This record gives sequence, structure tokens and C-alpha cells, in this order.
Amino acid sequence: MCYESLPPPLPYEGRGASTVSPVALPGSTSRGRHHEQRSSPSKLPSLRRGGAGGEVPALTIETVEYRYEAGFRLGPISLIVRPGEMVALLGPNGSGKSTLFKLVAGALKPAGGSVRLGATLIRALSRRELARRLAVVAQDITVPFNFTVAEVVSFGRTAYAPLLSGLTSIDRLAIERALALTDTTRFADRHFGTLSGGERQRALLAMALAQEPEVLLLDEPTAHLDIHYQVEMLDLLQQLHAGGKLTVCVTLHDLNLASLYFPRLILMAAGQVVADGAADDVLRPEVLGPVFHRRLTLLRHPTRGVPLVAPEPGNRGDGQV
Amino acid sequence: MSRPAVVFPLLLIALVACLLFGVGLGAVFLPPGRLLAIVAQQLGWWRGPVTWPANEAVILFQVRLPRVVAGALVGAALATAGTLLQGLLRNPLADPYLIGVSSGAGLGATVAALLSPVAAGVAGFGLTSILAFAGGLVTVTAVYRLARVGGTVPVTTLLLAGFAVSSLLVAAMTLMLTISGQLALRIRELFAWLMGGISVVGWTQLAVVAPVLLIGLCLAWTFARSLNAFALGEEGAAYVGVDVERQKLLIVALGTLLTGIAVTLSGLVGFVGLVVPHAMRMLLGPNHRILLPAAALGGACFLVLADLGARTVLAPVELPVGVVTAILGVPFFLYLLQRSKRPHVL
Repeated sequence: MCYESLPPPLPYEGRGASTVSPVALPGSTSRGRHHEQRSSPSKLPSLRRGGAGGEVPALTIETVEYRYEAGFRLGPISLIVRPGEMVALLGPNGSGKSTLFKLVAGALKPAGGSVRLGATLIRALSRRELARRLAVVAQDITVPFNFTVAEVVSFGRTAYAPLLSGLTSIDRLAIERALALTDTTRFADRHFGTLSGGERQRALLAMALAQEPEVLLLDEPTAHLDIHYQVEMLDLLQQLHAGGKLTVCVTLHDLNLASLYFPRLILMAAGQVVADGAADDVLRPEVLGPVFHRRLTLLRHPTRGVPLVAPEPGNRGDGQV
Repeated sequence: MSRPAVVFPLLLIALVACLLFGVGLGAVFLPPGRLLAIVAQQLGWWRGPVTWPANEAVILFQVRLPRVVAGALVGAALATAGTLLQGLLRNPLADPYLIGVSSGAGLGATVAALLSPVAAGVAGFGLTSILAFAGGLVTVTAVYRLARVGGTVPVTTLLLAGFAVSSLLVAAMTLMLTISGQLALRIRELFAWLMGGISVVGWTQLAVVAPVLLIGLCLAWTFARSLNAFALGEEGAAYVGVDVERQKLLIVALGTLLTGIAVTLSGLVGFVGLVVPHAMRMLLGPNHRILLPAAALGGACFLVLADLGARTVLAPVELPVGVVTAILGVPFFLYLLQRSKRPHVL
């Protein structure tokens, strides 16, 4: 039932601005350091107006920059994510998507520019204030000792706890709700360490939901999962997102899952955003080729109509299909 | 009934029993009835004839009671500090000694023995305690800074840095002992201090230390939810709202202070900070809101019993209490390890 909310596939040649979310990329263009293609900025609304008229964006990334010691630099990047959007951040290893993710999550401080959550600069928020509004499912979380799933989910209420008190009835309600939403209630009393990869990921999602966030960030939520759990996880995200105001941003390696589930894809390469829009705008041979340096063939999903990407074995391609 | 609801009353009963044993047993046996009578008489409630030798009141109030109270406080402090560090570092092998409290305190005590011409300085609450306390604090601070890699303090790095710095300090201590004639005269005293012992505690020391330790134990409990969140790792803890750097600093500082203060009363008693939290975690699970008070109670029981063993087993020879904690603790620890069916999740 969730697929109906996906945009209809565009004609394959269609190369205009996204049907889903027109997005500003002024940072990457004003300094003239952007990749040659895409990011047609002239058509896009200005940052100040925050995308749609009057609406405060869920996330506003404004000329954010970051530098690593090794010389890798990210940005400047500017993006707007509207409330209730579902966005996948794509890109090869080392493209900077994890860095951008951490900048938005507040785990890294930008060297320049700013990130806003709603109308508030995230650097002006304490970790505690931030955790009540923005939840993160990080990658490769392990939990030592024999904590139960319910206990791990209760960690999501840390930001709501007064200094001395235990879990309040409000906390317990939020935890029960998060367990129910992620269908993890039945193993609430199991030890977290005994869960399978898919169950673990759902339990961590439950922990994030217990934070009752406006924005949910997930770093590679399908990593190390088999196809059953990948689909289960993304179905779950789509259900959570459906109808609500929850804004969901994920980083993803799997271009096909991104195409199937996310109305908006943002493709990064070498620390820059190189494409931003619907799957039909981003998953194009002339876009993907230079980014992934592989010969990729584009297909159509037979029932959903969205583009899918198939690699061509053995060839180090130049991006031609 | 939930497990904590059963275990906590049992721990409290055990603590009372341990205190009674600790106060009653020794070269002179004081049965519980006699204990009550002496206390009542001291408080002015007992009007009847005094049927016991006068020295028994002195034994009780001047010798046994301060010692037992000190043992309970030190045990609670060491176990709590161990729980704090194990939770923070997500590692059941961590304890404040491992990151340098013991070697720093040992070196401090050695320096004190070198500086102070007064023999009582080694075991009393004087220069030794102060320098041991300072030595522990300074060492942990140094280890903590050395272990920092790119903004984080990885567990292995912290333990390796602790081990390296400790080795250096132990070498410095050995060097001092080797070349100083003055220290050579006092090597037995110093050695006894290094192995731990609660023999010379008086009320004056307790009056200073007890309130501080009790406040520290209560403060530790306020970190329970942060410690739980630290199970997610530092990044994960930050994402659920923990001010990681600040909390980490406060937790290490509190753990170090509790241990450092405990050391001023007891010398270097080993194994309590390691075995008690682990045992309690196996009994009650890892939730720090339950684990911290349980470890404090368990640590108090354990050290009171160990101290009782230290002064009675080979009486009149008194064993270093650190020897007894190991002899009592290791088999119990191994038993728990064997008994638990699941492999331990580090």
C-alpha cells in the first residue's frame, strides 16, 4: 500500500528539476567547484525562502564545509529537507556521505556554514535538546553486557530523564509504542546480543523512535542484512513515514533500494552533491558513470516502473551505457 | 517478584550479618547480645550491672567498629568505582586500578615514606594518604590524556596507556626502594600498605572520609542512565542525548576520587572493583540503576568479610586484606563464570 505514494516514473529522457522536491544547491555552484553536470541551480528557489513558501524546512544545510587532515574536503554543500520528506543519500565509498550524515547528526562540527533543525541552529542545541528532536540509527552498534531489547530501547529516553528518576509512565508509553511500531515487542525481554542482524536493526530503530524525533537519520540501515531484512527494514521506514510528519534521511549503498523506496535521492561524489532529485533524475547513466567509474545499465522495475541499476561485470567503464 | 526485589533485601541482610560478624569475631569473641548490651550501656540506656570486662567496650568502639565501618565504606567505594569504569569503557575488565590509580598511589606512598621521618606517616592519615591520593589522581589524568586518539579514548588504548604508565611508575618506585637507605628500613610497612590493610583506621579519619565517600556513592547513582547509554558507544550515547565528553570526564573523575579516597583508608586492596561489579551484573543484569547500589552493598559485604578473614585466619598474624580478597574472590568469580551458560558478551 505504501508504493502508491511514490511518484510516477518520469519519461526516461526527462531531465528537469525533481518532481518531488526542488532543491537549492547554491553552495556548490557559487564557488564554482561543483561537478560539471547537474545541479541546475538557476531553476531552484532560494535558500532563504526555505523551499516551499513560508514552510520551515525540517533540515537546512547551508554552505556546510568540512576538512579532514588527510586533505579530503567536503562541501560547501547546501540542501533543504522539508518536513515529512524521505531522502536517501547515495554515493561511493569516500564520497563524503557519512561525513555529511555526521555533520547533520551533530557528531562533527562543520568548518564552515551551518545546519539548522527546523528554525534552530543545531550548534545552539545541547546534545540533550538535539536528541529529543533528532534521532540517529548509527552503523555497527554493538551493546556490551546482557542488556535486554527493552532496556536498549529505553536508552532512547535518556534525553527526557531528570537527573535522578527512573523511567516515568510517559517513558514507558513511548517505549511500548516504539516496540509496537517496529514489531519488536515479542522479543523485548531477549538479550540484545542474541538478536539477528535484522532484529537488531529494528530494535535500534525502536530506540530511535522512543526519542520521539522530528527527524530520523539512519546510517546504512540495510547494511549486512539479507534481502528479506532489507525489504522489511525499508517497508518499516515507509510505514513509519506514511502520513506522519516524520522526516527520514538515510545513507544507502544500494541504488536499487533507494530507487524503490525513496522519493528523493541525493548523490554525492568527492565531497560534493552531484545530483539531487527523483530516482529518474539521479539514476541516469551520465550521472552515475563518472561517479562510480563503472559501466552501468539501467533497467525498469517491471511492476513499479522505477529505474534500476545493473552493473556490467569486468569493465571499468566510462559511464556509457 | 522481580529479581532486584529479592536480591536487594538479601544484600541488606547480608550486610548487617557481615557487620555483626566483623564486629563480633576476633581474638575476643563478642556475641551479638553482648554487642547490644555494650552499645546500650554506652548510650546510657543500660542501667543494669556491667557483666563484661571493661576492655570489651574499648575493643568494640576503638578497634572493631571503626575498622568494620571503614571496610564497608572502602568496599562499597571500590566496587562502585569499578562499576563506573566498566560501564563507561564497556569492558568488564576495567577498574580504576588498571588505568593507573594503584601505581600512582603506590608511588605517592613511597615518596611520602621517603619524605616523612615519622614512622606513623606510612600507615596513618598523614602524608602517605595525601600523596597516595594525589598520585592516583595525577596518574589517571595523565593516562587519560595519553590515551586520547582523535577525540576519543578507545578502551584498548586506555588500558594500554594505563599499563605502560603503571609499569613506569612501578619501576620508579622500585628504583627508589633500591637506592634509598631510609626506605629500605620501612619496606615492610610500605609493602603492607601496598597489599592493603585496614588496621589503623580511627574515628578521626572516618569522620573526614565517610561523608565524602557516602556523597560520592550517591553521586555515582546519578550517572546510572548515562552509563546505560554508554553501552551504545560514545557516538551512540551522544545521539540519545548524553553530553559524552563531559559525562566521561565526570565519571572517570568520580571513579578515581572514590578509589583514591578508599586507598587513603585501606592501602591498595585489589580485586574488589573488578569482581564485585561483575558478580552483581551476573546476578541482576547490567542496568546501572540497579547495578550501582547492588555493587556498593556487595562490595561492602565482601570487604568486611575479607578483612575479618585477614585478621582471624592466621591470628595473631594479620594477612594483607588484598591477599584475602583474591583468595576469596577468585574462586567465587570462576564459579560464576562457569555457572553462566551463555558466553560472556564483552
